[in-house]
Amino acid sequence: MADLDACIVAAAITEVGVFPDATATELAARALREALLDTSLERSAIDGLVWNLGRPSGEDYPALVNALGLNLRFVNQFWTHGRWTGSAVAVAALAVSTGLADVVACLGAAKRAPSSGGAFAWHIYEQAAFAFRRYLDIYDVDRERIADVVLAQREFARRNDRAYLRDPLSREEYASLPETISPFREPDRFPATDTGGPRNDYGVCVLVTRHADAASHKRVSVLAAQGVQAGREEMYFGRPGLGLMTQTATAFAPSSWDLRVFRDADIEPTDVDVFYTYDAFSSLVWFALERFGHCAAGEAPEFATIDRIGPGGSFPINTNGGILSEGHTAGWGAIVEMVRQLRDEAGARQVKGATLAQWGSVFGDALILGTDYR
Amino acid sequence: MTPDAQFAAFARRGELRFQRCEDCGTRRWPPESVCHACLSPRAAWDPAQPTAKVLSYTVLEEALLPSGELPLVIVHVQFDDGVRYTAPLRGPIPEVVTDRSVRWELGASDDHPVVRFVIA
Repeated sequence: MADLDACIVAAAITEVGVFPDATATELAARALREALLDTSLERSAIDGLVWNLGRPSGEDYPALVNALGLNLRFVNQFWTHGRWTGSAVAVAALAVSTGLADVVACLGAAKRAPSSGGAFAWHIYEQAAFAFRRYLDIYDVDRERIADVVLAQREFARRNDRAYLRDPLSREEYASLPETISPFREPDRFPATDTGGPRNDYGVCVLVTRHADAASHKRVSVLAAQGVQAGREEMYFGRPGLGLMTQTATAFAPSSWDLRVFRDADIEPTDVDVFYTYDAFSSLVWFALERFGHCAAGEAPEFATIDRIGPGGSFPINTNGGILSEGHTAGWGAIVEMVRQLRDEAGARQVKGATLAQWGSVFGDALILGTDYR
Repeated sequence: MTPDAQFAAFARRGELRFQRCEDCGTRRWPPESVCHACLSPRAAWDPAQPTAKVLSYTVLEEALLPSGELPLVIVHVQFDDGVRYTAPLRGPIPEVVTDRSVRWELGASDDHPVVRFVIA
């Protein structure tokens, strides 16, 4: 990949909660205003947009752009899903690096319908559950080991004022809960409504520009990016090699595509100070760790102990509390948190001396963000 | 007729059938308009084998579906010819589900054909 010249100069997310009276446009606007306050940029400087939402969940880009009073020469629209969060930032970085735009606003919001219906949960949940069960069988793992992921992220969420779930959760309490979607218990998935859909609303804004154009001293560099992987070896909510759906059952090791982002950033996986991943289900954290070579296949349960990945650990994961505890922001909460960590602005959650942060999802997409090296 | 409609039409007659590419012989699942190996649109529909093996499963204790009794076991199975299929398991929940041999049957729900498995 050619060198990027892209940095994040502002990142803001609203409180994660249920806001019955706010529209998606209003939530996005709230985040945009907060982001602009964080930089010397004027709203009129924004000439590019990556909109992480569309109908039927919110407005398509023309109505949004009109409502926000923007005037743009580059627009890209995804739909809201955790697989597009890293790619949204990547597209913004590519756009400014190549001059398609000078300042790109990545905007996202979710305005949950009162009921997203059973059909939503059906296909999502079954594949996640199949993949987790299969993993436990292949590597002969005790499912209770996943508690460390859930408890570590809850501990971080307790230090995060915008998080949705901040009540303490003990190992005993977790273990006593029924496996409602076996092998998952309720804390193993995003906070859900009674019909299975995500419960939380939010708005997010990340502003991306070139280093030379960034007046702010608080810029965070986008060092490298890679996209989601697709094909018959991929499945929803499981890494390759599990032998489910259209996958072949093979011994898993990260591919050159999985690891390319490290080479492009000129770092080793072990250089990463803090790791962020899409965790709509707890098991996805294990899959992502193995996909990006932070531990070998089958070793994530031993690697991801609360002592290592929780507060004060040597390899903290999802220090915002993750989707599991901060709430379902499709991973945007993680992107905003990466910026805060690298600016040393994460308060009680701050990872001391963090200079390199990775986003890497089970879908294979990744970002390496670093403190400003230029 | 679309592949999904064709699949359902067979199922309404009590037949479970899967596509095979008429040009290169590749088994095709889920139902698709073209062969992923050679992009041919031509397909024959072969009867499914009577039994399959459970690769993975989940037990739902939570009402994620509009109707149906709980708990509900959903199994993801593999036939000998490689076809994978996901459907509910009928009958009492066995102690061990993974690797069990199951046979398929066809029922109906609101006039739609429904594939179910039972422990063989």
